[in-house]
Amino acid sequence: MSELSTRLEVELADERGIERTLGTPRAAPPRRPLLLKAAALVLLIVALFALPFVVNSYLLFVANLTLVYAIATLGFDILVGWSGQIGLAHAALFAIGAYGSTIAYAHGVPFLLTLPLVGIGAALVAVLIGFPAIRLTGFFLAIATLAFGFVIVEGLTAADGLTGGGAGLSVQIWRLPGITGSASTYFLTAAVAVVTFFLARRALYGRFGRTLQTVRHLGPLVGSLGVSALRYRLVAFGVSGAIAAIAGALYAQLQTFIFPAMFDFNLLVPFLVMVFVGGAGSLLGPVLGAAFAVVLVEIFQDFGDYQAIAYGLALMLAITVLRGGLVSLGKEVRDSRLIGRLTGRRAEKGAVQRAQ
Amino acid sequence: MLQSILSGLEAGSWFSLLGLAIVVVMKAADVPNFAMAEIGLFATYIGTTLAGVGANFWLAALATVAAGIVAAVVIDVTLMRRLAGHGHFPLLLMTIGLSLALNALIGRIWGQTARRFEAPWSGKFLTIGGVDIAWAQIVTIVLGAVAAIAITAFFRSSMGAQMRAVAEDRATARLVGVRVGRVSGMAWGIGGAIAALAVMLQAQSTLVSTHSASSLIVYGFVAATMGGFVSLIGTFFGGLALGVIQSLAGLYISTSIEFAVALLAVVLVLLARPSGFTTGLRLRDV
Amino acid sequence: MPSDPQLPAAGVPEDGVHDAVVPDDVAVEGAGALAEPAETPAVELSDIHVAFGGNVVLDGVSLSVGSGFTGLIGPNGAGKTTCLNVISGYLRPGAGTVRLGGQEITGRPPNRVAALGVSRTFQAPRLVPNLSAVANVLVGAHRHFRRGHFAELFGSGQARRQEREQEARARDLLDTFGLGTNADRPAGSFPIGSQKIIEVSRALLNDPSLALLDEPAAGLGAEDVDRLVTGLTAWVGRSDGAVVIIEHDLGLISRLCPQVAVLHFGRIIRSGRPDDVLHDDLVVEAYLGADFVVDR
Repeated sequence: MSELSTRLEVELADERGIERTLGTPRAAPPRRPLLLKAAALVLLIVALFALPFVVNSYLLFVANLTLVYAIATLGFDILVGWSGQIGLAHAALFAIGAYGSTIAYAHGVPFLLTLPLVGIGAALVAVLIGFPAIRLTGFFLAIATLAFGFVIVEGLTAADGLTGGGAGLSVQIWRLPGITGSASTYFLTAAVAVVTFFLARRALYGRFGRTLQTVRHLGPLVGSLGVSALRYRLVAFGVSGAIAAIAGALYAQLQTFIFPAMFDFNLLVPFLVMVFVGGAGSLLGPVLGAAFAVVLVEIFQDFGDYQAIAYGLALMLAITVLRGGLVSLGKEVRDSRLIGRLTGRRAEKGAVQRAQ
Repeated sequence: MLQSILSGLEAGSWFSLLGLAIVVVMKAADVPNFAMAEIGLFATYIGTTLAGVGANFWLAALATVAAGIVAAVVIDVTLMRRLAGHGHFPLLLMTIGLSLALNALIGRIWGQTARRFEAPWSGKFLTIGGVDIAWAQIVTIVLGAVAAIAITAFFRSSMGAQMRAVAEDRATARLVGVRVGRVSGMAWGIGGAIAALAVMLQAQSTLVSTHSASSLIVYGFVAATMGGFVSLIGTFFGGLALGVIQSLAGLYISTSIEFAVALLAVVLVLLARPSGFTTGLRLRDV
Repeated sequence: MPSDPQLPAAGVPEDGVHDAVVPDDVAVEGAGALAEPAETPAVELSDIHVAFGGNVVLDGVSLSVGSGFTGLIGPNGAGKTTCLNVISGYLRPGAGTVRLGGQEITGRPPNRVAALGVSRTFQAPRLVPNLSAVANVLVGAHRHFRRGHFAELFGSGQARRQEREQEARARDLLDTFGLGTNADRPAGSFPIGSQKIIEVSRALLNDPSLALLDEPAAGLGAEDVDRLVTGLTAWVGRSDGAVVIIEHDLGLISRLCPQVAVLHFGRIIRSGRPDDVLHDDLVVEAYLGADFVVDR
């Protein structure tokens, strides 16, 4: 076979490997009655914004952190799940948002303006990372982006005049006018989360999402459809970077003090856990994954010395059991043979037998 | 500068050995094992404990390698084999979880303080032309090369051929009569032995601890990447190169960013060769 | 029709494997000219040379394709897929030119060639398994979407209208191929034959002036082949496009294509009507070996 075909086959084989590991996004959810959807949405948003009035400050912190992680994981999922590129610079881009926003605000930039600014900045950095890495796939892409990410965090440490270096940086908190206390940060995060997820839904379940998935699955073959794989891959990098940075800015506001070591492997691994355990390729997945990671840490908080062991074991268990991530749990339970036997239904595979 | 190159080669030997361990298990058992350094650390600590109660050095060293083999095989049989069929990404997360748990467990048993594995030649130097060379460095570099050659030779043997068959295509290998489970176990055993050797060599020269293991594994993966995850020679020389580049960067630029520089060098390599250096004996034809 | 029984036989080893030499003095009747002289061919290859290292894959291929169906046949390894790769931009030829409707497109990258109205399918269907058949097919209309993604993000009316239009076209096309009723099922749940047909639909949604199909019927059962033929014929009738089909099913080729070109060892050795071409000695020899020619 020609050299070109061999090369295409190798690239596609690689892609199949990624497909096997990452799972694939779900089709758009079924169209439920509009009224029901609207009602559910309103209910959700009300619940979200009512939270500060019902829970104590500790739980509010946990909820806030979960939302921040959920946003970041959504961005990560766009890159890893939808476009199928394992780019491990995510924690570093998150850091750019945290530091960028904090420093800009401290220098007089209106806080709300810092969000789109770090978004654009991180998007550019992400594209710069993604561009040379475009020929790499799988592990090689992962290592290369990991390297870039590492360099960025090291850079943040080194620029200690601006960033406070290893010792860290104190974050000036921005408050919504008229609101005091941690509720302000929470409302801000919740608002950003709602907007981000809303926009993401439109994009990912529409033409952008299906084109992105086609780029992921077809690789170089997608050119035959007139689609530029390069462009979509880079856009995925850019978008995921922007979302990561915005989440990072919110993270800084929540933590009130940031230092570089917060953004190294200790954060990247949780991101990986969140995107995988939650379930790649859906909107609910990042939220579930974020909740999982946060809850896990909280549960094992009191284990003292055994905390790390328990965390590791729990992680292993989750990954073993949840093949499609938490998001597929409902479906897996329904499809499982046990439930089937209980309800007298044979587990379907869902194949279309005859196309008519 | 020679000094720097030598210590670079020494560290590079640890990296390449760990990288080789990773590649062997990756290719014969299809598992990217992030807990490889912890296996090595565990084994080394067993050795140091034995040495601590007065056992002969060689006995302790042997025990270390044995412990590495046993630990790795146990992990394979009890855990990894049940997870066949999971893709690389979930397996990687699994082994990350495993490394976290193992690391903490080791810390519980032996504590967090760093240790050394004193060898008869530790602390002794050779002076050639005004340059001080630690015997430990020589031993490391030589042993590293010997181990790499031995592994390569092994893979040319019939058992090695079976392992390559399994690496190439598990299902077909099984059909042809290869005992895939046994081969997997052997691969893990070899990986464990090499990892134990790597950490043991590190421990005779410098201090090792649960922290050093956490950073060593990244180097191991980077070395494996240089070899494209298939080539033993590529991994070996990749690891050495990594060590030397890092060392020279530390000398000429600064120690704080030496890792960053080394990583950037790796990125440059990958840009030039998107699949690493896949020459020489490959465990699998790309 | 010129045929020279001795020439192929000479220097041919017993087992029928022969050198890739078509003697110059064997006139290849009407080689390469499959379009009406008056109209601009949908695509025209002129003296295309492709070699990998020392291995010559296409050795001066000239081919002119008009509207309707054209078959491209030949034994394995003859270079048929390579021809498609050259036309669709996946391969830059060492020498020679490719003209699309008179415009030179040699060496342009695949997505640019597709934007000019060339579609192709590949031997193994590559669909997004969890997306519906319609969604998969819709991606084929990429060049028809005038508004960018930002407009969609903010729900512009024009973007919405565009999406509706294209979706209607996609469903319509799937209907032509008999897959309309299950269009919303995930593509991965279809049997492989239907998946290949979905891929063909995706290629046709581009509304190409030239569609290149690489073994579209390979592995398809009789019913699916019928669906494929019906859909393709209907499409060609509506759009007056050109379709080049690589196939090994010579019956299908005869049924569908009024014109056929035979590629052997990187050269077009015969072209013309299927009846003439398929009974030609050179072609028979190419497929079956010299013994068969000599024995007749």
